Amino acid sequence: MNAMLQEPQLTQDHLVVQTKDLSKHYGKIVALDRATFTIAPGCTGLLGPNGAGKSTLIKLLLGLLKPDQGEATIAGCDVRTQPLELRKLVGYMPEHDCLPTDWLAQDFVRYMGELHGLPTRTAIQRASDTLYHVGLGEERYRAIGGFSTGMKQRVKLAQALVHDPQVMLLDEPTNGLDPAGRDEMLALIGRIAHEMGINVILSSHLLIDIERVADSVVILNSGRIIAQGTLRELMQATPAVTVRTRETPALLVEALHKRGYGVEANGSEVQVEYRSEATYDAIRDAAVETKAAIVHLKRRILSLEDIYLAGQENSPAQAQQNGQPSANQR
Amino acid sequence: MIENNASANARIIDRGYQHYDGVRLGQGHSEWVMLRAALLRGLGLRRNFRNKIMPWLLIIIGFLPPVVILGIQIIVGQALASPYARLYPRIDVVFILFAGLVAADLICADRRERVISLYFSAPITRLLYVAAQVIGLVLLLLLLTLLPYVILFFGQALLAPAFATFVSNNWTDLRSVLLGGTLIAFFYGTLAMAVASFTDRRTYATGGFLGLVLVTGIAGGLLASPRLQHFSGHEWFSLIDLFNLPINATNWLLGKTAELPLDGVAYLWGSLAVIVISLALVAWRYLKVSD
Repeated sequence: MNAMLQEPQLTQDHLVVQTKDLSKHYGKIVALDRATFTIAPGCTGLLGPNGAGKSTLIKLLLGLLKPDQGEATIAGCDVRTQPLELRKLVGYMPEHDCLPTDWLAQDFVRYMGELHGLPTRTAIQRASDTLYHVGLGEERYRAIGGFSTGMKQRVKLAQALVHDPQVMLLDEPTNGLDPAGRDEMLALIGRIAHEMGINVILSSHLLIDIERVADSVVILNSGRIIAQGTLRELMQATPAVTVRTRETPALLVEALHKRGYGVEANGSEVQVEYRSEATYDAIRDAAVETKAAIVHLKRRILSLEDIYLAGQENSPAQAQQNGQPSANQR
Repeated sequence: MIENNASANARIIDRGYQHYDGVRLGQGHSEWVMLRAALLRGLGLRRNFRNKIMPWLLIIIGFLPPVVILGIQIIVGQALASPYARLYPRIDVVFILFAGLVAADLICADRRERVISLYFSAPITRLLYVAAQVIGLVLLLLLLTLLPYVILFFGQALLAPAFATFVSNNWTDLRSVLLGGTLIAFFYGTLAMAVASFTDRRTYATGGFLGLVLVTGIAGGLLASPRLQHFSGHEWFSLIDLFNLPINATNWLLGKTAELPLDGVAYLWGSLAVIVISLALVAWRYLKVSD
């Protein structure tokens, strides 16, 4: 009965997650709408407001829900056809309370390790080690019911880590934590992703959490993917160049308009629509033409918040608020 | 010198995170792990003292009658005639209480505390999970419905002048105890699980199971009563008596048929039908239950 299943190996060349047109509906409610994205190894943030579809996406990736349409793989396993195989390679930390209050922390983490296929002796050893790594080394023989919220979150993290997964899906791991607890949890997640070398997919509605630990991000709103990529790419993929002049830049603005560029002026600062490297040439030529003295010229770096807000403005929910039909209704 | 002492006392305090590249066992291992957890939980082991009181009290009560009978026989110095058919109906309530309490304890808390969302994120199926809980409860019930009577049988055999002669003369009793005890354990175990699968509150689960067994027991007893002999077929109502259904089947297996309103085989089929329906209900509930 103790059959060993074939274990797909994840290398750096493999994508951690790959989805194509992944959709899930609950009756008329669209929880996930044709989501197509890829996640590379490292720590990836799944960002979106409450109800954006993050938890649904995580459950689809775990094979706990069947997609209505589309396909997805995680750690090389198809979520439709290999749900049991993939769960050996994935650790899951749910958003909600999910711990048995009358179990000892050590017993529960060991139990979860055994359920994920670890032999008993290994599970006992790894449960102790894992609880130590999450900062519960001293408290591991206490009943979970007596733990604080922060300690319970650590137990949830430990049970997701005990079987040494290739990918960890963490659903709102900082929920209910005070600022100090949040800092510690994010530091732990950072260690797991960057020191232990485990791929982490971290779902959160808090930008600051994602910015702190994630290398890349997938932004969701109303069930749709509104942006994805590495933080560096997203923040640099700015459609504007900031120009500051010594004098009022009215003539410069006019000259740039004549060259067909979208321009927004605010005092001595001008935001010029970025198209390509040629934009810089156009700005230089316009400045020469109008004798404008440029004191600052830089491609604008967006914060994750700018990207998030821009995405929300373009989202179906916002369109609906503005009286336009949303993509989900079309 | 100091350096040598320092290295002699050196210990590795933090081994750092260790990746695991050993074997990962299959679903058979997971099933055994869940079954072991169910057995420990049902007996209140590795839990606080409060959780141990009821199961162990009921187990002690369940063992008392056979132990007392065996004690009397040791004092009197002679084996009594087959006592099983008289014992089962009297100790039945202990089986029922044990099944109601332990079934609720095994599955209600997992749903109430939403732990099953974690279990189902492991490489196990829902049916595997629920099978472990049902098998766990039935095995624990066998501790009460079978073990004391098997001990009684072999205790009597040891007291008899010839062990082998006693066993060969009374092996039908042993066979009936094995069959009847197993039937009772499956009957109350699966029925209690079926009731518990409809609620995540232990009190409702235990209360619901006890209520179902008592109400059907009273209703079946009244409707099948000989006082209603003018009503043709009234004896068939004894089949709705979930309190006594498996006990009647066991008594039939033990050859005590005089007090049974129907042919004993009807109680056997009735009990088996209840077991099958209960298992189907539990499976249906767990295939539907949200995590």
